[in-house]
Amino acid sequence: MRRWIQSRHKPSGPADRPQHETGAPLHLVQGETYASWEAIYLDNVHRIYRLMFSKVGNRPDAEDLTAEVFLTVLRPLRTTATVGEVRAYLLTTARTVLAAHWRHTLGREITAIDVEQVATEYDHPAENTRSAQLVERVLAALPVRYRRVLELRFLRACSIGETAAELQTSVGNVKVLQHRALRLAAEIVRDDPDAAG
Amino acid sequence: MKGPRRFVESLLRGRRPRRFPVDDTDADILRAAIELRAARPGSGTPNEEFVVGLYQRLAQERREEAERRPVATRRQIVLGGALAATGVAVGVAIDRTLAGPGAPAGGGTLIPDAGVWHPVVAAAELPEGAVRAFDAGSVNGFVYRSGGRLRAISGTCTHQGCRLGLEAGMRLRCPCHRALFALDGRVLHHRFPGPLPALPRIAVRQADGVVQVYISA
Repeated sequence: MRRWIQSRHKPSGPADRPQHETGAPLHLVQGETYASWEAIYLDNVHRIYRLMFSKVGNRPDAEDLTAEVFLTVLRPLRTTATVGEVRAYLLTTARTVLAAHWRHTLGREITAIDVEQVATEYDHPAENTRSAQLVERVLAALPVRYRRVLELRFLRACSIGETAAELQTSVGNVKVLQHRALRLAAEIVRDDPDAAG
Repeated sequence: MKGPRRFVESLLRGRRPRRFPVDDTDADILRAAIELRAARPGSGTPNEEFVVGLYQRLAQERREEAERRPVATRRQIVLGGALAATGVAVGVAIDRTLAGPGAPAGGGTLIPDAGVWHPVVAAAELPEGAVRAFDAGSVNGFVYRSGGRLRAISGTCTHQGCRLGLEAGMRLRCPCHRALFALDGRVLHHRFPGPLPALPRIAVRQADGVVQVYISA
C-alpha cells in the first residue's frame, strides 16, 4: 500500500495542469478541479493532518480530527467543485471540528484555525514557516537555560533523564526548569502579534 | 498545576492528553506547549498506515452510499470511474476491509412487544432533507426525510447510553465519548478498542399529516 500512495500522490490532480513557472514543486491551481474523490483525499490529507497536529500537538488527536474532517466532507462535496472551493470547504470544516474538539475535551478553545490566515500556508505547505518563526522568536527571547530545556524536551524529544544529563543537573531541577521555561514561553506566545491561538 | 504538567507530558510522550479544568494561565501554557511540540521536525507528517486506513474507510463509506442509491447520479458515475481507475491494489484493500472483523454490527429495527404509533411531528414540518429530534418517553431519537422517504433512528449511543446530539444537521454525536453516527445509524467514528454497534432503526410512518414512530405502549 505504501508504494501505491506514493505513486498516486502527485499525478492524482488535474491531468493537464501547467508546470509551475517558478520551478517550485507542483501546486494545484485554485480554479482547476480535482479528477476524483481520491485526488481530493490524497492532495489534502497530509495538509489537514499537519494543520491539526499544529493545533493539538499530539498524534492520536490529530488523526481523529483529520478523519473527522474527511468523513464530514465526504457526502456534501461535489467533485465538480474547484480546487479552491474544496480547500476552502475543508478548512472551514477543520475549523468547526477543532472548535468542537476543544469544547468537548477542555471546555474552552485552546487553539483555533483562522481560515484566511492558514489558507496561503495550506496551498504552499513547503513554505509553512509561521509556526516555526514564532517558535524561533519565543526560544530566542528566553534565558539560555530555559531555552535549552525546551529545545531538548520539545524539539529533540529527549527524556527528562537525558535532558538532566545534557544540562548537568538533577531530574528534579529539569522539571522545575521546564515548568518555568514553559510559563515564560506562554507569556511570550500570548503577547506575540503573530500567534494565531 | 498537576493538570497542565500532565497535559505537557502527554504531548511529549506522543499520547492523547487527559482532560482537566483549565484556567487562563493553563490555556496559555498549553498553547505554548502545542506550538513547541508541533515545531519538532517531522511531527506534521501523518503515519502512512493512518493515511491508507482512512482512505479505506472513506472508500467503504462511498461504496455503501452507492449501494443505497440504485439510480446512479452523475456524481456516482464519476466516482465509479475513478474507483475503477485506482488499480488492483486498492480494490483488494477495500474488499479486505469490507470482509474484515472491524465491520460495524447492524443495528436492526426496534420492534417492541406491545407497540403504538406515537406522533412526533407534523408532516409539513419535516420537508425533504430535514431532521427533527423527538422524545417519546420510552424512546428518543431522530426522524428525517431523505429521497422522499421517512426514516427514524434511535438517539441513544450504543456504547454507554448517552443521549446523542445532532451535529451539522446530518450526523449524530455522543457527548460522552464523542462517538459519531450517520443518520442511518452507521458508526462513522469512535475511539473504543472493540467494534461499536450501529444505532437501531425505528419504524416510522406518515398518517393524517403527522409523522409517527412505532414504540412501546
